[in-house]
Amino acid sequence: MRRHVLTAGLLLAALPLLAATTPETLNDRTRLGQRFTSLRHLAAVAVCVPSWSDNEGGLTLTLWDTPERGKNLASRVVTGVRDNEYVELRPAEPLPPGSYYWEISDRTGTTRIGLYCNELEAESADCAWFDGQPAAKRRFLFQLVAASLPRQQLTALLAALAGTDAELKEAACRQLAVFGSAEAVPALAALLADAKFAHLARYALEGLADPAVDVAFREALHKLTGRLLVGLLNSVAVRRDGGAVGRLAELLKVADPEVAGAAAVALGRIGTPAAAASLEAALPGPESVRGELYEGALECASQLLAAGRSGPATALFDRLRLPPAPRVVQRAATRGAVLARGPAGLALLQQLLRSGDSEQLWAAMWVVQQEWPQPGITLAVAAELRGLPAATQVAVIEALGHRRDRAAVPALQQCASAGELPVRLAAVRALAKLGPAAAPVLLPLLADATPELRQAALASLAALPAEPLAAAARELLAHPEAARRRDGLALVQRRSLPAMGDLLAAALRDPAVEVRQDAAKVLTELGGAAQVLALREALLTAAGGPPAAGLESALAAVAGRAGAAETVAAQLADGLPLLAPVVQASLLRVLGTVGGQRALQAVVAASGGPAGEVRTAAREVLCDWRTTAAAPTLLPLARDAAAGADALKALRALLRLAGDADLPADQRWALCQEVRPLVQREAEQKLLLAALGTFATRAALDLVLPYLEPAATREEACSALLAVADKLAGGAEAAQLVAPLTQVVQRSGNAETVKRAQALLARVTPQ
Amino acid sequence: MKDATNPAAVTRRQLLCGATAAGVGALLGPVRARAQVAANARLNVAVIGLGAMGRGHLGWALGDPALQVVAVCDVDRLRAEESLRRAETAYADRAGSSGYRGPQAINDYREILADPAVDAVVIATPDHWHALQAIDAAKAGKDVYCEKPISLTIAEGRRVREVMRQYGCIFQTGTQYRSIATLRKVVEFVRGGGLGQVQHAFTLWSRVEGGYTPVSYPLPAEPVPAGLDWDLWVGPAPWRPYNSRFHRNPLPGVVPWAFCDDFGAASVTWHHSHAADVTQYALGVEETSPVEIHHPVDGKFPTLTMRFANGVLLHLVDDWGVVKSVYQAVPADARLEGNFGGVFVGERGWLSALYGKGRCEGQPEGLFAEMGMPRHEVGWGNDHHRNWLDCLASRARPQTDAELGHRAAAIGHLAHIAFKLHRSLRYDPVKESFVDDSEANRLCSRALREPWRM
Repeated sequence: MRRHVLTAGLLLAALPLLAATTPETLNDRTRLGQRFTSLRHLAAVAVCVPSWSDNEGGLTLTLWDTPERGKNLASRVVTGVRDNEYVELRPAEPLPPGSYYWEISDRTGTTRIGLYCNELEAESADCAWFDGQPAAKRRFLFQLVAASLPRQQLTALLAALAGTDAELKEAACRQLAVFGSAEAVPALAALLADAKFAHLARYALEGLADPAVDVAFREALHKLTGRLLVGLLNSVAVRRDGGAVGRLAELLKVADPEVAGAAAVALGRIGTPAAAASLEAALPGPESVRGELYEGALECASQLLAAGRSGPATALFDRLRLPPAPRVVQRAATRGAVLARGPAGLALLQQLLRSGDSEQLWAAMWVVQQEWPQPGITLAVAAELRGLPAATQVAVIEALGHRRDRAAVPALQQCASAGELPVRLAAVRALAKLGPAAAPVLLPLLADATPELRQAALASLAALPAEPLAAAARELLAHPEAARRRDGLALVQRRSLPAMGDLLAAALRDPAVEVRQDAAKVLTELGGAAQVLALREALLTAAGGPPAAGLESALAAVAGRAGAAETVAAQLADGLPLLAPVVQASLLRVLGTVGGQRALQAVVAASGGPAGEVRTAAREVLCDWRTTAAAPTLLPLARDAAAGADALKALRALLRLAGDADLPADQRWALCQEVRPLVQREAEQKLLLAALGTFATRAALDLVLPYLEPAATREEACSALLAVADKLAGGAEAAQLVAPLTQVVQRSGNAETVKRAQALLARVTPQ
Repeated sequence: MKDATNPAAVTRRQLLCGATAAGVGALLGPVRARAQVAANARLNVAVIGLGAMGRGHLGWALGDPALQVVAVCDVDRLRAEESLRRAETAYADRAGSSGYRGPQAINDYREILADPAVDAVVIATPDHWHALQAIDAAKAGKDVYCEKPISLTIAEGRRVREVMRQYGCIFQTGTQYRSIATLRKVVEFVRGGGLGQVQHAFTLWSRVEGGYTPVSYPLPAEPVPAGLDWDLWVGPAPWRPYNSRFHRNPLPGVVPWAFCDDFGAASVTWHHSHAADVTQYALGVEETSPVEIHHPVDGKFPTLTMRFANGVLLHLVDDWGVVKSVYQAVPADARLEGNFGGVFVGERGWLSALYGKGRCEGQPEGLFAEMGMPRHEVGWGNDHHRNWLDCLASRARPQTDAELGHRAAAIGHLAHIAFKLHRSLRYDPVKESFVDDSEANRLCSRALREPWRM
């Protein structure tokens, strides 16, 4: 059993609890249960079960009407219970509010399994039961899940509507919104005039597909006023009741602008020819409802179009395209007017493009990009390009790009090849969206005289799908001009193109140094094991020349992630002593990145050579080695007084390894023993103390103690001692920590250290 | 509302046709032309709703030189004034003058919509307002960035889509995870057949108060805090008296109202709209909906499962462990950490596209090389806002327009309806209605409280 953390939950039968939570096992009993009261419809009970051992134990959870177990409401056998799992039981239907009883029984498996129990502040009938006996002041830990949508009998819901309990009435409306039928309409309609429940009545009625609702709503249209009438009109609009058009037309003329406006919008939603006629007759109408009248008319035109009445829809849209319709409506109607005309709308669309009017161009751009995907539209719009002002051309070119129709390629090619720069740039950017067909157009543009255009062409090529992009990259990498070959490398890098390894390896041998440098950069990111030898070869060829640094970085990155370290190291170290010193030094550093036995052999061999660039590099790599395998070479070096600075570096490397908690503790401890006699200076003493602090042994602590005395190492010794003691405090040797910790308290000048020592002392001091 | 000193006096519409400033840059609109025309062609935006998400958007808007925040709006005066001070400070810093006063603090969003100087609005109100405010904004000629979910019912989402088309409104849903470059790479790979035929997808579905749907029970009335217009906060939803679980200052966290069925959509609000957007895009079903919703009671699947017409199964799971232990769809040592996306299992292997805990996973490893993804880490960098701004100028379709925002919300609503009715359902994704199931269909819409309408 892990320590249990209470999860948030809805405790419908919340009772005042005392803090204590104790586990009660079913192993000691036959059954454990809980009576509870749910204030709302109940979907499920969820019981928290500690099982001490994950996925082993099982039980039966049963829901009863009472603790006397008269009626079984639901039951579930559960096996493999996770520790502290909430085991859930859902009856087939939500249960009405009331008191119930759940119980666990019939334990299976061998682990302990049970429940958590809390103490209650006072006795309660809703209490825990142990083998059929109540414990009036105890309660098991569980949750109740309220039903999100209970389903009560229609008679009960209608009774609630007729009653005075507001909460029940609201709940009834919410249920009737889903489960209600024509039978409920009269009772709900009676609430439409009730300011408090009118909305809930509509909530229940609006979605009921029964003509009785329309009849009730039409009747209410003659009775209600003000906000309640507005709400009703909105519901009539949603139901699109054509039978209400006559009354709505009358309501267009009432003085209350909210009502008249709602009637206008409702007529629009209904969208019949009769509704359209009412609205057209009312336009433009008084200022107070003009907005709603035009909104309704636009909606009406849209509904007519959706119903296939394109003639009347076109006529209405055309009227709304003109003043005095609000500009927003004009623009929307323009869009509608194009669509309502069907194929004939293309002529209007072209007219809009040529209009020079912002609202009309706005609408045209929308239709071109969002409504008409047919290829014919692309060609028709592209044909307009030549006659448009440059600024409009840019907008139309972008729109053609967004259509992603390759039919636009010839037109965009023409725009990209000559003309005003913004137009050319727009065409180049748009081509990026047109797929493979754009590649042959974009490739020549990489040689354009305008740098901005060349960059745009490269970016557009990089945005092409993988296949045409790879083809373009291959073509560029084989190009006679170095600049194009560099473009090819840039494409490979931008999109991390796979399967280009051979071409990249070839680029490492390119006659142009810039290409070789770029290739090294790309391989740094993308290269794998297959490119190790090519990079090594390039490094040899460079022999310290300009690309060498980049090649070494690339080789280190590639070799480091290539896997198969021994194989890679063997490739790198092959014939190493025969190479130029500068190359040997590079390869030794790369071997340090690779690691492993073969790499170490090569590095060790080079570290013993004559003084010079190679030996220096080898010793630096050794000092950075990541495992204790380097220690046998580093130790003699550290002990060699003649080695000077190298000896000190070796000692520090050994101390670093000794303190690296990721390495095996026994090897590190052996290292500590070996290097301790070499540690003379204050700086290295502090490194040793840091290393000792990583151990969890009394012996490490004993090595730390002498360093408490000198002031120069005292604080580091205190820290190391605390680090060791903290790991030992829970063990058998805890009592032996009292004396050393007391020393820390007495000697440290650091308040935080003293505080930590005191806290540890409190833990380890026998009570 | 318009300030004479406001440099945003030139609207983008004027710019679109070069009606004012000369040259191509001016014609392209402030967004595309920001490099050329800089401060005198900013897009005027207002942020509606200043809770946690709204403040985040405000911070972005204040920091984008292409935008001018002209109004901040919240039904809570304290929040509006706090954001106003923040905006004033930001603009004063930018202008080098402490006397700069640009934006206004507004209580009622309808005042913002009535202002012709406002080009676009960012809607970050509680969920029950999203569809209505987006529709009202479109009718007022404003473009919209709307927080997710864009609807609380399927009917609301359909209406949003319809009105956005009708008015030619550029609408971006705030499901920005699909715009994270790494996630997009993975989902486009899956979408393009990189896994072969995808058979199963998994995504998270969280519980609220023990159940799988938002709750709907009365909470006790509490005194309405000073400065809060509670009637306007409730707006089109069924009336409930004020309770601090819905709204309080200081902010109790992100989307506190989401537990309540009238104001939020629990899992859909918390994360599932994001996950649905990413998942549906990966599966190539972002413009449709499932045809079957299997509740666990029918015994076919252990957790609620959707089947699309192309046969793909989308399983909702409480936690990722279920994918390993119950469905055994991925190896037991898979980490499967994160959220806001999904796990996809196909003929060629499996991939995760999740955000929040580091990296994408999958097998075989070679899939990542095919994707050109040598590193698996998922960063936050995304171009979602930028995509919206670009589309405002071009009138192109944004990455997650109303159709996609609607479908991403709708799949969550379908799950809620199945959970509420406690049974499996069949759905027609073209008609967007349940097949021969009036009860389920009635859960597709809700009447709005008067005087609100869509």
